[in-house]
Amino acid sequence: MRNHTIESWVSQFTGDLYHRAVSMVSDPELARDLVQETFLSAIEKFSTFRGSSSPKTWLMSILNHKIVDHYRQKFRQPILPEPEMIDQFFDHNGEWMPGRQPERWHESDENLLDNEAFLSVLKICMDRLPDKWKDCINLKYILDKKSDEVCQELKITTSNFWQITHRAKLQLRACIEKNWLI
Amino acid sequence: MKKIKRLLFLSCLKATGLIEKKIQFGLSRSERIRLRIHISMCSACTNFGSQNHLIEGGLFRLNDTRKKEIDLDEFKKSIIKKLDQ
Repeated sequence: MRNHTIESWVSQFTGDLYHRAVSMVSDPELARDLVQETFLSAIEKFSTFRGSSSPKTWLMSILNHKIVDHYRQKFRQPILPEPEMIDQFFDHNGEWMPGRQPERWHESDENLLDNEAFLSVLKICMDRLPDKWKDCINLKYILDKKSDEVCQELKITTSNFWQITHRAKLQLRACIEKNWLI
Repeated sequence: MKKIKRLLFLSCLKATGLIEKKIQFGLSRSERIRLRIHISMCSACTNFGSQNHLIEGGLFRLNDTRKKEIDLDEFKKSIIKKLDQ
């Protein structure tokens, strides 16, 4: 009975669960593992499923826990901003280094967001960032949450969070400017 | 003079930090005022601010279009096989 029900859920909900997982972790292999683990947990916890929510909602909530766990594991080591990275951009008074001041971009309005070339350079530049910096930037979109909620989930302080994203943005901006013909 | 300037006004490092903090969490009243004063005098940080805003918009786009297709039937079979073990 139990396995039969779960098997029918596998055929009904795998697609939705997978799409959710892959949009949250952006790694297809990992997403597959998380979906698989979701069904394994569902078998274990089947007796706690009361039918007061739909099976899909229940499975999604198991999956969400797995995703948050994944990020929590990853962030268990504190992430420290690298002070020497700042030296590339600012002098000891905190003023822009000569030649590093952001210039005006020719196209600087919202049209840029429909520009495929801009988006693909952004993507390449994102991929060059250190892993955890990338996650800090992406997590609020990925988890569809506000930044302070993301900090709570990951148990990191808000100031640690924006100091990381600040550095990531400095790096990203410079990378875009260098690689994108303005 | 330089010292007083630094006490009253933000450095570019601090100003760009506050620009990012504003996007993520919002600013306190005094931070907001100090940032506004700095931006009004500094074109580099003004550029940083508007470009940072664009980058945020771009990141939102990228994350929106990230869903990928896989062979679902094959995946379902492999799950069921795992569950049976």
